[in-house]
Amino acid sequence: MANYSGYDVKELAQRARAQIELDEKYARERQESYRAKRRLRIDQIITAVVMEAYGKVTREIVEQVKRLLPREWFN
Amino acid sequence: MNVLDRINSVAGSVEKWWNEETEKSLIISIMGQTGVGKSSLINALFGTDLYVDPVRPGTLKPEVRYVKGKSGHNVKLYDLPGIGESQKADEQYFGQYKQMLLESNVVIWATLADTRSFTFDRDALDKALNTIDEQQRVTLMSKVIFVLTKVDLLNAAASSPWIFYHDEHEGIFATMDPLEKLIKRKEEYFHRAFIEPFKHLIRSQTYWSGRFAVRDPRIHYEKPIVNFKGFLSEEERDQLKRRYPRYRDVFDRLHDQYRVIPCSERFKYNLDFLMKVITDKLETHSAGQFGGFVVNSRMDKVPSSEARNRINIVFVDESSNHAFNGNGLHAK
Repeated sequence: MANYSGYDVKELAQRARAQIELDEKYARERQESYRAKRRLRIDQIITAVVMEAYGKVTREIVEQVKRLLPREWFN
Repeated sequence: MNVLDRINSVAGSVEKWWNEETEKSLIISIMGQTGVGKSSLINALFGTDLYVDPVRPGTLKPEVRYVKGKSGHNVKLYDLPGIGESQKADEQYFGQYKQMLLESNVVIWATLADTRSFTFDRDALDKALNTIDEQQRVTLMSKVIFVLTKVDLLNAAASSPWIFYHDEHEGIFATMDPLEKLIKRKEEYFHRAFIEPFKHLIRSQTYWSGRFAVRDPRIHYEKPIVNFKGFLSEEERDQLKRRYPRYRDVFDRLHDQYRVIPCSERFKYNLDFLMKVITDKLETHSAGQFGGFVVNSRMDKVPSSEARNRINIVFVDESSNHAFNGNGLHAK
């Protein structure tokens, strides 16, 4: 296909590749952002349930509970 | 109950609680005048299948719609037509608007990019904020994301076509310089109307997993979340980036949350950015509901065959008996 006159193909391709790089970064960032919120929310739930069961929250109990939960929740 | 049984029971309760949260509907409010492309935008972002009528406008009253995303997760959608289109409707439904906006996990405020008037939308925002208390104002402004829709229509104003960069099967839409500049100017114009007057109500947050040693009274870090009180302007962001280069991405993300976001669902332009902002602005307690809508891959890809069909001009040359369009040459 003939080039559209007046446009530099390399320059246009470079702009598009820069856009792709940014979109890739945004995709990674939103995954990380979601995972951080999921970890935090699960920590909040663990704290609430442990408090109800034991009347106190200790690091040791929390770690024991975490070991029994699906590992991917803490990725 | 022995020690092990007790721990097992607690873990079971945690799992049950989390699973119940993941099964709840994600509540989304989409605000905007008729024809700005609310349903199309929601479909593009959340994989729903809302019907889009190209001729008949929606109703003027708020509607509740229940739909499913691609992964089968539930969405409860509050479809809120623009306040100001009908005074009677405004008076009748305003109480519902407030309730719906505050109850939502995600609030998107959509305005057509190809317009210079923001009077209706600004009036609506003023009305919404003036009828709630200070704490609710902060909550609402921390949730709402202002979006400029249909930026694909701006190419004529900029006299600049879009780039479609592709291989045989798929590609992405990108902007040329004049179009990018026009989009930036639009963003700044709407930013002055929707964000700047409400800076004092703004709170933003993002993630950071390591040690976060930044001395700034507006920043509060509680691992893994960095909280920022107020609006982080471009200049302030750049100053912080120079002073603390290690955390430059954090400052970018905090600043990005209060940009007016230009996008095109049709060209899938800037959807990755918009979805990143939606995820960052999400309150922690909504994480379970949002899980089914996290998109792991890039959202900007458009099949090449579809992109060709979007070129909507046929060049007719009667003298040579030829007509051309995006699919190539067609002899008449």
